[in-house]
Amino acid sequence: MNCYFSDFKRLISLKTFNCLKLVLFVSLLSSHVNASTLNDVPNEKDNVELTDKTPITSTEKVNAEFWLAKLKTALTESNFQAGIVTMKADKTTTYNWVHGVVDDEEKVEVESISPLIGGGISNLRHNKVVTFIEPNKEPYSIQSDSIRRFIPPIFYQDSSQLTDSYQFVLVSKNQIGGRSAQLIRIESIDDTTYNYWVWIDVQSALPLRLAFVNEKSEVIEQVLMTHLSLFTGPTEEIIKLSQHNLPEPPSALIATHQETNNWNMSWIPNGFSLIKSDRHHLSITREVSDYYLFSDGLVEFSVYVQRQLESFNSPLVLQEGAMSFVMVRSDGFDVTVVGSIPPETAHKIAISVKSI
Amino acid sequence: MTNKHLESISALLDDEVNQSELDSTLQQTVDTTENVEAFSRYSLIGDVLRNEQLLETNGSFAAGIQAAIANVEQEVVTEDSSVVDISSHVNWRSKVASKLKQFSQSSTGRNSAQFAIAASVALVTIVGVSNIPQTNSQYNAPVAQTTPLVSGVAPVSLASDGVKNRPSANQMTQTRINALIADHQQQLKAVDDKKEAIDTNEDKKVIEP
Repeated sequence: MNCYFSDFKRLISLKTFNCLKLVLFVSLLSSHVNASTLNDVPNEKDNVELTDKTPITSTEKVNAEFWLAKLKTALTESNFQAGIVTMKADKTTTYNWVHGVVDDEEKVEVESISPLIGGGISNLRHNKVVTFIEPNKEPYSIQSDSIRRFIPPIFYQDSSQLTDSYQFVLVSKNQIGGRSAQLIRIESIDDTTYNYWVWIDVQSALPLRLAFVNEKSEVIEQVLMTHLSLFTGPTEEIIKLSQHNLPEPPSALIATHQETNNWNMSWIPNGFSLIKSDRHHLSITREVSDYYLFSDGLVEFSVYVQRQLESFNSPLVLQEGAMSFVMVRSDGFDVTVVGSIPPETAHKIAISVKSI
Repeated sequence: MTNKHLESISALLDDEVNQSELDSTLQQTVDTTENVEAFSRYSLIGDVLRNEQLLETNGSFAAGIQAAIANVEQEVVTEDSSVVDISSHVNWRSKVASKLKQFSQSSTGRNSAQFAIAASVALVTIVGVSNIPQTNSQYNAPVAQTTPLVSGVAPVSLASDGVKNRPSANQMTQTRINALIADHQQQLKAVDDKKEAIDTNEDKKVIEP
């Protein structure tokens, strides 16, 4: 008290200029103190997280592969209902996502993805049969072990297939929707493709957030889980979904395509391999196109070779979220590359297409 | 009202009276000089209206009018020269002019002529300043509202026109783009089973060597 009092007296006796100087100094000091206390807080948090991790490390080796393996198990074996928002450029789409395992006479894995708004396409999956349900259309099925909407199919398979062209990085933990989430970065080794970041729920190992990230670390397209209800067993809804009779998928014989082998691609980004090639009519314009589909497990791109259009400015580059569209005029034909790859990569692929 | 008693004179001159009225009216008219003047004026008006006589007036009337006009003009000129800079407002003009005149005529005003000049300058500036924002604000309000509206509307309409025009110019390109993107998404839907088979084959290939 005495100390403060004498200080005060001194303050009064000082000239106003000196007073100002003192006040400035004091405020600087206090701000410094504030900064140091702020710095302390995250440190404490880090410590808490470290103590969180230690019990797991004692039992199993925790790395990115461990989390991706947990993700696969969660995606195929847990019972849950979730709300999903996908944000692609300025388009937002919302889905209701239900998954469960019904183990009555035979084990049925059930997955349903339906748009929350409007009468778009709904999907229902029983094990490896995926049915497309559209209003005013006959439902049809295909063979697939996942519904290809917002989760890359690689997460239902062995993620280690990606190690040729991607490296997995285990990053810090975040909070997403009030849940603790472990961030795994799947990073393109040579930057020919986008990086893919996955936030995995620590409790359920389900994906809370998925994002395409460019080389500047900007999120260009993302999927966000808005809510998650975990169940210990299949709910009534899941059991009901498992009792639907799905149309039979067409046999592989009917689905065969005439293969095409007229074009040579001299450059394909590392890790991508040809999935299929054919010649087919585009459903909208009925234009004939030679078609190639490439995938690296995480993303795909299509290559179309078509007759020349009369007027367009080559190269035509469009982008929507992570999807790039590049059309170039080549020697007597037009080449188009579409896919979730950077436009530079798509352009490089397009100009490398030559006729054999 | 005041002309009520002159009505009979007017009627007399218009030949609309009977004998008894004529007698009484003439009798009244003689009584006062006002009535006599009225009689002469009315008869003159009637003659002029009936084109029976050219209007002959004495010079005093025209001179009076001229004098009146001269006075009015003088007043206006003095006001304009002294106060027109201050404000376009009529009331401001006359008020300030009269105040300045009063002030300059008063003894204190003469004694402090310099102050008077300074004060008038100050008044001019004050009135001028206070007037400029007023006129400006009158113009500003609509300008401030219309400018964003115009700039907001114009680019949008231009941009939308441009967007509308371009597809029509390159409609073939646009339909092809749509067709290719739709086909790409269609192809992705039905790819899983095959892709998986190839992937596993590749894995085998990798393992074999």
